[in-house]
Amino acid sequence: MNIQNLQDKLYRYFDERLEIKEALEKFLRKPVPIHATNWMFCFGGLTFLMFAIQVVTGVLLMVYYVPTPEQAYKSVQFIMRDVNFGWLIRSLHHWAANGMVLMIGLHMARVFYMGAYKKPRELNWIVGVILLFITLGFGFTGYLLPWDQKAFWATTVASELANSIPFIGPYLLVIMRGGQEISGATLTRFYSVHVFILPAIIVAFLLLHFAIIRRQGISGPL
Amino acid sequence: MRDVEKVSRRSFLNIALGAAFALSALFAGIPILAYLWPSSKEGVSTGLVEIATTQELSIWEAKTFVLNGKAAILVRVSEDGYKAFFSKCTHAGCTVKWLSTEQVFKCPCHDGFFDSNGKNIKGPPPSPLGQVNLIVEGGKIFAGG
Repeated sequence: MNIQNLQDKLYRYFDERLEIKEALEKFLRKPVPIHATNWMFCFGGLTFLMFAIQVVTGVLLMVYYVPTPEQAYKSVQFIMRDVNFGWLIRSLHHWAANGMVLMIGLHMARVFYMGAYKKPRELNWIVGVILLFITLGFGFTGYLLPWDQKAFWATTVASELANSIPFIGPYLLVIMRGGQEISGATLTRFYSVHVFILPAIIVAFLLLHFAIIRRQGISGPL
Repeated sequence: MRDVEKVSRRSFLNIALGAAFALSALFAGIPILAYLWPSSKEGVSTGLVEIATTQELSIWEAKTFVLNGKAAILVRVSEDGYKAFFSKCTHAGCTVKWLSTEQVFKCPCHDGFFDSNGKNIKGPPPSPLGQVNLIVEGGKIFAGG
């Protein structure tokens, strides 16, 4: 049991200095109420698993993806054809994105069906709805990045939709497109929102979501 | 009887869980490391490739082909003279096209031009097109080597 010894030593080294034992115990040894040991309670965690896959594969895609009109489509082709396992990483990103939205739908359906959104948990439902919209924002901005025909026209349609909102629509369209037309400015804009702004926001709201569920505990049985 | 070290159920499960995680991390780690390693598909020589016959093209006519995964263009420049270049523009990497009427390669992205020797003659390209080695033998044209 040599490895076990080494682990113990390492653990004790940090525990002596940081007193992590108490904090860790409280964090990791959370008993799950018996009524919640049911497969219907897994969708929130699965959503987070999808998110974790998105973070890892997304960072890897950033290594080769180039967000310029000349290079965007080509760099995606390069990832799919030439990069080792590039097809795997990009396909995982694509399917986990779809899976994340699906899991959110199932998670929300479970919470709704069990009435878990009711007082005192309304605030966490609202945080959850915000997380849903952030996720859809990821989907919307990510859809443009391959810079193919489908991406171009999907963004054209969506920004026209924004344009049809009374009074503020035309301004929204310019902000979204970075001009009157969809151009390289739109691409870099969507890229920065997709890989930096939304990730920062979603991490903050995820932490809030988890902190609230820990504070309030899982809702009671049906 | 030999003294057997007792392992509690809890610590056995912890070790099993740790091993499962380590194994998963390993299996996920291999493709990730391979992904980060520069692609080996560029520049791997596949030897001589037959790309055309000498009868196929008239003078100043061109034909595109793929060599070692890279797009290239073959041009017949005289009765028995052939030239071939990689199509990747030396400026921003777009694919150049052969214009047989003007006898130049044109890059559509930023209006770069190259002459029939692959030399950059107009526009932003900083250097000539990459040349492809050709061998003409027995009525057939081979590229690469």
